[in-house]
Amino acid sequence: MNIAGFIIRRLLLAIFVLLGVVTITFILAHSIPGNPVYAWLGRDASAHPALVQLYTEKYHLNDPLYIQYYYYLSGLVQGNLGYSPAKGFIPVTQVISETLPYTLQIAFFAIVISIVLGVVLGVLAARFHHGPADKSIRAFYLAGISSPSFFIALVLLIIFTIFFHLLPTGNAASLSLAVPRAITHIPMLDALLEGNFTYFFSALQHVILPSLSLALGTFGVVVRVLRSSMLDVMRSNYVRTARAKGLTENTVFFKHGLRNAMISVVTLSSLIVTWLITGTIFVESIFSYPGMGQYVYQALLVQDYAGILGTTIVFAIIIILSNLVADILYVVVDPQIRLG
Amino acid sequence: MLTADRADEPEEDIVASNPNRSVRFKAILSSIRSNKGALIGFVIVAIFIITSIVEALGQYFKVKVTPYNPLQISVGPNLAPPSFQHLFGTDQLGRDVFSRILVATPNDVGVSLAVISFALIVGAVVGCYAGFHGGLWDEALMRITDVFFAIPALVLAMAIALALGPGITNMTVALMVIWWPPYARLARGETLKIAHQNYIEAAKLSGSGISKIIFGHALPNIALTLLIYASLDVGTVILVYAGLNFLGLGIQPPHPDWGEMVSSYKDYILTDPYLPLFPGLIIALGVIGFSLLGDGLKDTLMA
Repeated sequence: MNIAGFIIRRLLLAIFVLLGVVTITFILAHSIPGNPVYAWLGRDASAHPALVQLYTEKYHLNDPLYIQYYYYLSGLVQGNLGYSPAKGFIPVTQVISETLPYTLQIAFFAIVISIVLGVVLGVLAARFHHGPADKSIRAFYLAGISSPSFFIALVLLIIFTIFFHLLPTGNAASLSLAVPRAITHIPMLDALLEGNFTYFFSALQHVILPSLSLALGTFGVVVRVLRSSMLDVMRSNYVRTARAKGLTENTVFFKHGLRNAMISVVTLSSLIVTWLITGTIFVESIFSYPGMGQYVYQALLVQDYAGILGTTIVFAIIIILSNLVADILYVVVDPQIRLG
Repeated sequence: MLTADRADEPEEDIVASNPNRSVRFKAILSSIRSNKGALIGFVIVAIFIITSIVEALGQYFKVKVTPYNPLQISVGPNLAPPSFQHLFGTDQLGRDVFSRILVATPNDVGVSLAVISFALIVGAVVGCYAGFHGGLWDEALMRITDVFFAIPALVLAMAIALALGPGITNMTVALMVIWWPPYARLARGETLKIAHQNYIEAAKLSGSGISKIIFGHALPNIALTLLIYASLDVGTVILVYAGLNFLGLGIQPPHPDWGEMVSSYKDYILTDPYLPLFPGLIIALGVIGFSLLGDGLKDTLMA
């Protein structure tokens, strides 16, 4: 089987999985007892019964579930995810397109930090395994992996902003700065393209703590897997051959060992992405970062069906895509793996 | 591969193939004692479980097993720092933080163990059945688990909890619903590994039905792998459960929970930064305990 056929098959599977995700979350969100209009409108609902009637009809809330499902799916195909009560009934697609870029910014830096930290510490732990360095690295990543992301976020907030006043407490950038003109829709990238370095550095300062909070929870996975696969590789025959050729231990370790051990890190990406996404819900609320995680939290508070469903789908798409990319990368970096 | 095969042999001798269960159990205990990490994990987990039992019994028989009444306000000054009277200080209403953490222990530990046990049992049976039966059942199970793998556990639990309404029972149900698929997948894989072993073929030939083969022959042989996975997974449930409580979907005020405490105390972070740190540390400590124990079990049983 060639690689194109493999990708097409995985894409078809991904669409099937996505449909399953939509169905599950739709059924769940619509089994909430009571008319959600009361939650959306708050105090206005009891004052204006006609308004409740109007909204109930507008969103087909009295129709049977399968008809609502039909409306939802047909809307979905046209790129319509419904309207978000949590944000004053603007389209969910609009809310997501406004908030997702910020979440991507956090996620990007979080992935970079966790991979850099994970690879450096994983290599150190494998190089000096069973020594004091290995043990302290293990203690460090175990503490990170075991702490809830909101706890790590609070600890960082206390250390860096309350005690040392080094970094800002919240928001995506200093509020006095104008958001750069939308080119790619990712603010930090736009600022760079525009040459607006004031905004870029302000945004960088604001993104460090949220990303670090997420990365400290995920880098341990990289360390753990890299360390053990490194130790496996170093016992293999081709490493023995490399040593027998008279190469120095460092050349063997980095050139023959690390390159092959990195393959196992590729498969971790989906696990890391899932953790990061879950983490953004807490971290963005704590740092009041205007991303999708914070929107999920707001949607939760007012039982915003459309919002929760829409964000769940976007989360699922991100995870499915990252799985797909990991699978393809895995095949590309390791020719021994058979496609199937 | 050769080294891996050789490493499997002694384990078979001590643990897997030993028919005497008490000897098997003693072998596990002695290997835990020789592994420092596993020992620390064992002690932490023991402390958490004993605390939960004591607190649960205390609540059931209405006996005071906390230094102060965890729900009573103004047992001390508001927002008092940690001291010998109030080990972890007091909160914004003058409630004793240490007592509140203690009283929340049975919920967190109990929910996690209940969710894991449910996932383990349902996952093992479903996965084993799919593994033997193959065909449509197998395909259906795999596609269902694919779907569940694409949604983060916390997001799905959030949606279920929202549908059922907040509360500790609904939260437990939500977590149970989403937690079994990985176990089913693991059990299926393990079943496929043993499906053509001689003892399974022998059982088939002797006319045993599929349920007899599953419960009598297959499950006992894949149980160890599943149990090791489960022991490493308890910490994850604790984390997700704490997260749901942080979002206010779990136990409702005034009853305390670790996650809920971090969430409500975080507003006092500017003046009393230690306040949200104690419940957060307790969550981390519990998770560390279970991971160390799980790692130790994995090392001793799989090495």
